[in-house]
This record gives sequence, C-alpha cells and structure tokens, in this order.
Amino acid sequence: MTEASGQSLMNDTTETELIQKIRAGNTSLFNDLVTRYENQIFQYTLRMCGNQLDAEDIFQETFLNAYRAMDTFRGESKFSTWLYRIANNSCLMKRRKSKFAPEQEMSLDEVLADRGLDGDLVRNTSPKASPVDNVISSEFRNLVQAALLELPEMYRKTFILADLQGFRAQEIADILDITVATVKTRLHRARLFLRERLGHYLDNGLKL
Amino acid sequence: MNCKEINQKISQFIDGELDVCECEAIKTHIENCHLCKNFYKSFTRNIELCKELLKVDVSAEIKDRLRLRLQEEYKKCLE
Repeated sequence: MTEASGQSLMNDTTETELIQKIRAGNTSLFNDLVTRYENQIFQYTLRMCGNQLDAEDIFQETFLNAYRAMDTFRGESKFSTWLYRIANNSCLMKRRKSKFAPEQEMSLDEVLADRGLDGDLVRNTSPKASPVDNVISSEFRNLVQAALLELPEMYRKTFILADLQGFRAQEIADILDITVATVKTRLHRARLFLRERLGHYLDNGLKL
Repeated sequence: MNCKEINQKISQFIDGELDVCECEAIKTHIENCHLCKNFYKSFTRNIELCKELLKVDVSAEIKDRLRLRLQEEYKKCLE
C-alpha cells in the first residue's frame, strides 16, 4: 500500500461525504479537504518548480481552482487524481507566465550531454540533526533538488509522484493522462538520470 | 541475464514487476557481478535519499495565507 493511496483509501467514505456536503453548500468544509492534501500538494509544487515563491502561487491556485470547480467533480475518478490534474494545470499556467522551467523542453539525452549542476536552491534543515549534519544534508538536498530540476518536466512529474509521493503507476497514468507503460519508462529513465547525476556523491560517502 | 539487461530491468525489479524466474536471474547476476552489485546498491540508495531529502511540510505561514485566500473566495460565493 502506498502512502498517498493508503491515505486516500482510509479516508474514502468520509471524503465522499465531505465532498457531497461541500457541493450542497457547506463551503467552509473545503478547509478539511485542504488539510488532507496540503502537504502532498505543496511538496509536489515545490519539487516541480524548485522555489518557494512560485510553489506557493501554484499551491494556492490549485486549491482555489479546485474549490471553484467543485461542481464539476463527478466522482468518476478519485478526488486525489482530480486534484493533482488541477495542480498540473496550475504548474503549466505558471510556467507560461514565469521562468521556472524552459518552455521548450530538452530531451533527457540533451540534458545529460549539456548541463552541469546548478539551480534554484531550497533549504530544509532538520531540527533534530546536528549543525554539521544539517549543513551536509542541506548541501546535498540542494544538489538533489538541482538535479531534479534538470530533468525534463514529464520525467520530473513522474519521479515526484512515484518515488517521493508513493503513487502507483496506474494512478500516475490517470493523473498525467498517459499509459502505464509510459509511466514506467519515464520513471526508469528519471531514476537512471538522477543516479548518474548524484551517484558520484553517494560513491564518495556524501563528501561535499 | 547480462549487465545491459540489469540496467534495463532494475526499476521493474525493485518495483516487484518481474516474474519469479526473472527476479532469480537478476539476483544471481547481482550476487556474482561486482559492477552490477554496486549499481544496484547506488540505484536503490539514491531513490531512498531523494525521498528522505526532498520531504517537505508546508509552513504554518503558507497554510494561513492559503486559508485567507480561500476565505475571500467563500465570501465571494455567498455574495
């Protein structure tokens, strides 16, 4: 059982009831839906664009657009699938307005041949770790985020949904409207790319 | 099973998508091939590290700002 789908299944009954009540006019109950998904959606938007400001904009737009479109949610797909489709569209709209990713995507092979590691860095230190541990993990986190941003968007989405958020291939296929075989191919190529980019640090015991 | 096939099937292997025969062939190859053993270890460790390092929780400030915007949206709907 995956983390994301597990949470969703566990809450299925109450979530359906919640959605019915919201659609019947109890609008403030939408906050309960937000509480269930905000950490997942924020992680998705932050890892997709790599900076806090754009991520927060997309995060807000996702929930605002979901609220505005609640009448169109018919329950034909899982609510999480529907919400992630909205998050994806919000990412696309943001990208058109800003620079968080190139409009014209490079192929994975072009990226591998062309780029070094750099990018917009995100800080996230653990309060339980020592200051030295924090510096090391913070620096490595920056490298990982930078490598993730080097991935063309279609690979990045798949990797985030599968390996960071625990969605199954079928769920990712539903969210991204692609086949399960395509999900698996993209995930494998994304993992190979990240391993190639970061393997050096792993092989050297994370010495930075 | 050769090294090239290990490279191609490693994701299916760790995701539990291969049949018993293929799994056994991969396990045997990895046990006997130093390069593939290292590749397998760093491949899986890399995924775990990404998962661990890229975790994030929304800050209270960001949550508050979202709820403020939603509150405005709820009011608009009532008008």
